[in-house]
Amino acid sequence: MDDCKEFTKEKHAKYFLRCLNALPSSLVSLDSIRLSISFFAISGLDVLGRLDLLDKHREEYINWIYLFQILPNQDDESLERCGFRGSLAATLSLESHSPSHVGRSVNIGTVSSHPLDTSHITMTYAAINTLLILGDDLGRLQRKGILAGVKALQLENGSFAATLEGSESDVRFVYCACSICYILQDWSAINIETTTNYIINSISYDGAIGQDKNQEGHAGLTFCGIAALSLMGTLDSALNLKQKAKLVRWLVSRQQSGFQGRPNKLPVDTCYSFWVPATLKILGAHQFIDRKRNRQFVLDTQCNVVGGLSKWIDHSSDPLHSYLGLAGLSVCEDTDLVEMIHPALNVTMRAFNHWKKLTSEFI
Amino acid sequence: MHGRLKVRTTAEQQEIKAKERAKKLAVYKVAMDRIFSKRKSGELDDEILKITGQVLTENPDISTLWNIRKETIVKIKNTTPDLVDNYVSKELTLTEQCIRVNPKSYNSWFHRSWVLDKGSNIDFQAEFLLCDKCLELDERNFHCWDYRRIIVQMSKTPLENELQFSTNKITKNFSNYSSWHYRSELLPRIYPSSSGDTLLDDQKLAEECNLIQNAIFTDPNDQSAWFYQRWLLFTKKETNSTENSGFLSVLNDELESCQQLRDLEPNNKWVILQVCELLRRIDSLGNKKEILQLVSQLTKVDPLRRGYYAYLGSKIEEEKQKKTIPE
Repeated sequence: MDDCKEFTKEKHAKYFLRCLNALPSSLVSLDSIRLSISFFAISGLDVLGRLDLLDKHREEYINWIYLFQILPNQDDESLERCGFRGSLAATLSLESHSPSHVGRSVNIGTVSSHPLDTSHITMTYAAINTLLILGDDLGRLQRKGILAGVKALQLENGSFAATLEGSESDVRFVYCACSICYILQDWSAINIETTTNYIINSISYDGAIGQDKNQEGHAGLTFCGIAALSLMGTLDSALNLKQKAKLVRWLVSRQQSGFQGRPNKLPVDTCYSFWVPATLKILGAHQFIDRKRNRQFVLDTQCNVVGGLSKWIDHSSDPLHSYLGLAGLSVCEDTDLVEMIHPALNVTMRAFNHWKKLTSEFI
Repeated sequence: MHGRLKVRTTAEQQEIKAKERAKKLAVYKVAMDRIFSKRKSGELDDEILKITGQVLTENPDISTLWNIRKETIVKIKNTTPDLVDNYVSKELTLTEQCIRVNPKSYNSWFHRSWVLDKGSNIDFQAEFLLCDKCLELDERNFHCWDYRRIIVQMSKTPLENELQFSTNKITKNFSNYSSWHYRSELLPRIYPSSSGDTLLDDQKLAEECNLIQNAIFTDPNDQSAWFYQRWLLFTKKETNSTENSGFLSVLNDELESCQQLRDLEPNNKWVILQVCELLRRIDSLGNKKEILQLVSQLTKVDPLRRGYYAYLGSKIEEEKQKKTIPE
């Protein structure tokens, strides 16, 4: 496609590698969610087809991620605390050596759990996905604990909170819960019926899904809801053809060049280049996207000097928008630039095939 | 992650910044160590509130620290309930500060709504004022809208008051998707349909159609009005009530208005789309030729969505019934 900016793949790969070592002070608010940043960077490299750049330190990265896992104690009490933390910055006991930079640690120890340590569902989701991408066999996952942790976070109305101590509860964490259960191939921990009903009840008057009941429809949250339904296998029973058509219309209207997250919100934001097309793909309607226009926009958000992609043109790049911009190109099937991605799980098809192989061996 | 503009700095400025950051880091590390050591030994007291407050004012996104504050407030409520209102007030001050730093911080808004529940003497007027201020800065801040729903419920504010609030917002600025959304939640609760067949009570539906028409004529390019009008006009129970002549006359009235608008704005895709949809619902078979011409026009005036319109066209071609309830 001639009138697009050049795709600076190598710069983006270097950008993700740098993210894994250190982040600029402007991103200090992300300190407590490092695991999600590592997901963006590592999945980003995978989408670029440059996971080979991590080969030398692959085992170290895997070990680093496992450090974040909250282990059950000997008597399996308080299993519901299990899952993954977001960062070691907010941990009560660090009895093993704790590396603060991926790639430097050689100590494969564990961080023992304190009774007040609890996991965060988004971090559990990010950890499992990242391990899968790195080719791990998930053998060190405390499955019983993780599922107990997810179960403990489900509310009566079907929604999920993020941590045991309490947090807002909404469709973002529903998606994380469903992704975890899907990958572990174990739905016993969640109530699929109430979860499905919760998502249905979060549908706004315009057909899109909001964060929670009564909330405005929003493209990112719509992805979370639709992807969750798809993973649970209840998409077709939850939404009839009319509802799906209404939602497709709403999603298709989000494209301006790239995509916006809600009607009338401008300028378009790179991350919606993933959320909207991925949702349309799950609904079987991605052919309605103007791929060329989206590609033009996403390539315009590339940062010349440091690499990565930014939220808006001529802004600084950050890990989330860098990853989602590229994932968006993948959903739109720009396979001359990037690898194919699984639209609901948000990992490459390569990682997904690795999971399929693992799962068949399991059964 | 919020967009940051690229700014060039000289080497000297960079060095000054590096020194400042090193200082900040040292302070941060000392604070976090103290917080976690106190928590481990169960010292949930004024000091832990002070230090977590200092860190959160710089970075409101550390949810662990908010949760430590929750644990502390719960402890105070259980051991010295007379003092809890004082602490609740401090939490409200802190969350307000954090909301100023980051008006979209999930943690800050959630903590504030959590804390409301713990006090016995909440000044809801002040809470509504905070909401008003935040919405003035950003009408689309859904955290704030959600918080507003919570204080409406807690203060038992009549929903009619809130409807009036949304009317005021809309009259000031018709292009306010979040306000229209709010109305979509309020109206069916305040004015439910008596027949169960339509969306709202008939008279209210007519008034609302009138309001939305004003919005559409004021700015026919504003998406919010069109989506809202679709919902008002086209949301009906799945009965064969397209035979309902009352409803048909509503559709025909709207069609007339839309055609008037089309004369003024012949290339406006929203107008063309709406005329299309109205014709389909009035008589999709009888109007098929005109509908397909309009769809073809849409492909030209809104080329970004030509794939979608092609699909729409093919669906319409296939329609064989006189009156369908299409989507």
